[in-house]
Amino acid sequence: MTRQHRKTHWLMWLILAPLVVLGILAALAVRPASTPASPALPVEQTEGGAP
Amino acid sequence: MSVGYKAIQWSPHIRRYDLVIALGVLLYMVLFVVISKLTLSADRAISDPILILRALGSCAYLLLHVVLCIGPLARLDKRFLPLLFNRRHLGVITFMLGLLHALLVLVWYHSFGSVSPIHSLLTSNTSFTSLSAFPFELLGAGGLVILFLMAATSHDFWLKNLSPATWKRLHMLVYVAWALLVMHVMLGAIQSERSVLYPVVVIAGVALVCGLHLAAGRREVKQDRCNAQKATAGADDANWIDVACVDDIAESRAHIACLPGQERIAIFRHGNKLSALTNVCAHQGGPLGEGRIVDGCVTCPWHGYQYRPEDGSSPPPFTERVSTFRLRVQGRRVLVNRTPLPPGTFVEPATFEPLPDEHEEHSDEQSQSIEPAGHA
Repeated sequence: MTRQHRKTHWLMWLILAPLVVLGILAALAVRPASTPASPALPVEQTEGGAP
Repeated sequence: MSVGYKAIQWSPHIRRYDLVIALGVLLYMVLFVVISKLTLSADRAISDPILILRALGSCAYLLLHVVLCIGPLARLDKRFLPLLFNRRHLGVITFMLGLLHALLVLVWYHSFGSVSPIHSLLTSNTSFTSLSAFPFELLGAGGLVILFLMAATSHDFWLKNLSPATWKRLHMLVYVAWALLVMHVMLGAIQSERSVLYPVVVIAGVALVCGLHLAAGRREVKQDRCNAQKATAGADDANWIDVACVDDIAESRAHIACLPGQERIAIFRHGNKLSALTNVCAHQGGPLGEGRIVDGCVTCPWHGYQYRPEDGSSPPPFTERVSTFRLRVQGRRVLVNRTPLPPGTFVEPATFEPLPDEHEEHSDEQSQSIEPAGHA
């Protein structure tokens, strides 16, 4: 590769690598939890305070 | 190397290379479908078209990573150079798999409505402000357009007509395509899949590509810095630079001199002669200095383009030419004139006296190598 191509190569990596890492982190942050939350169990209603 | 243009310059090596890729792709597709069918429970079963669609997409994505890793691997270890030789076929196959994936997506998800599939793809999801619901298909389409441009211009016809510099710039867009496709997967498949395995595979791929490029880049910068220091330390005058010791250059190999502010120079030793050429091959900018002299010609390690060491011209009927440099030997030191001569300029090779024991060794090597060459 010529010097100019090496510079372009480096510049491209300097810009793209952080963008990709940020993108991955953001995508992981909004990803739903790995195990779907189990449906709430029916709670027996009692009167007169705690069972 | 070819005088005229052919659709594909088949050779036994290229046939083997393509056969291995085709078998590998086929095997991956079959394994993907079979394993998915075996592991997915009945309530999460996926229809066959979607399984094939996913197999094609994931295969293209993995192949793109392989393509991107070949370059730095070949710079870090010469044993990977044979993979580089035919990388373009691998790139075109990657595009074809991506295209099939995209066509299946259009047919399966966008062709049953009242609008055209392309119109549906572009307008069905416009949640550009939401990351979790982002129209990731458009990222994939962007990556595919770049891969198409690269596949369409991958032939040497375009390399010649666009000029190697423009062609290389265009093909560096592969990194943009890669970034778009990583996000296509992260905002698409990874959002809907619950398994931890998928994000781990994607992150490992990204780390591998980034890590290898970083390692190869660091190594080159380190070598350049080291060579530049040696060169400037021995400067004779403004134009003649002391770059190496004759005895440090192996027979039929080169020393790569890195002079500040200009292209690298490859100084080749052939017998008791030295010749200097630019380190940049006229074909795709391959590092000539990492090649060797074969049949009296400097041979590029990337695609085998050849140049005579004395004048930097390809032997007839080929017409490629590279810049040459004047050399002189003082004692055992090699001095190069940093001003490049026009491509194809003849320069009388600088000569030196081989060391006595080296002369004997060289004679032995010649006598040993003559016999097999004669049989061949």
